[in-house]
Amino acid sequence: MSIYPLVLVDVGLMQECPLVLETKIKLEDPLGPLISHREARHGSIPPKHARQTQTVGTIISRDPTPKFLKFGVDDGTGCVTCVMWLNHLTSSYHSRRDPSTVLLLASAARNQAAEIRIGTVARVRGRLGLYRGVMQITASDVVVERDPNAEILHWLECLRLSRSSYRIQS
Amino acid sequence: MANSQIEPGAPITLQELYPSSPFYKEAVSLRVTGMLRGYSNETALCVIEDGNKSLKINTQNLSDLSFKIGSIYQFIGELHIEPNNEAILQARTGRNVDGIDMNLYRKTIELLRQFLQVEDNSNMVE
Repeated sequence: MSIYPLVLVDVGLMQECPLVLETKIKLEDPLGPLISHREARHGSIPPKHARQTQTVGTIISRDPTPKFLKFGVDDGTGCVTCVMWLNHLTSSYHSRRDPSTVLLLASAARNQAAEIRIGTVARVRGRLGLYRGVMQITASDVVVERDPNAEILHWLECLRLSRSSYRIQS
Repeated sequence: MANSQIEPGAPITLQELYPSSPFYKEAVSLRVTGMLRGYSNETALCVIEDGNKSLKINTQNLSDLSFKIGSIYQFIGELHIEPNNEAILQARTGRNVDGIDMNLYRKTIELLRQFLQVEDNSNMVE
């Protein structure tokens, strides 16, 4: 059983992306050698080009801090740590953006963070990265799934993409 | 960080939980789904059923979940094997999944398992 959950990426994004993100965090550079998910797992290859990811799973942990909410997602194949930043109004990262946009982002993040509860199933979209050598998703948005079949459909979509769109290592 | 050490709850059907099954082990993390047949407020134990198989769930860590007999629930937790060889799932999470397509669920976890098996085999020869 893998450590990390299945991860989806939009096909449109894949076309823009120099790297192709596969299920189980396998990365492949069309211009270079294949990078195994084992290497990515151990942090030797930062998935810097895997810009946007999506996963669906059960929230298994919730660790709020003043600046961000850290939570764990289990999709049945793996667990991944996700971080949702909540410091839009004080972070210099957002200082150049339109204040009304920042207010909107801050409000949306707070509302979404309140919905993230242990036991709920959520669709997490965000940027895949490494923090201290461990894979992490910096969530841009989190949607709680009400459909009891959402995870099943996510699994089937991962399987479909693995066969039709992603290049599977052999 | 801690989440990387938490084993994912492997999705299984209750039919796959029998003493010689690879899932029938102490502390194995599982995701189980079934119809609620009984619940005790005193012990926080409930029983779910799928077909002719049932499983006891210890829900003492699930304070926010309300139980309704006849509804379908999904739990993630660790299996505990009693001295009499009876299995009880120590639930970490639980949710009502009324409306779930159980036939699709069974078929999908089988497909998912086959996919992960192929993946694991391919990684072993890297």
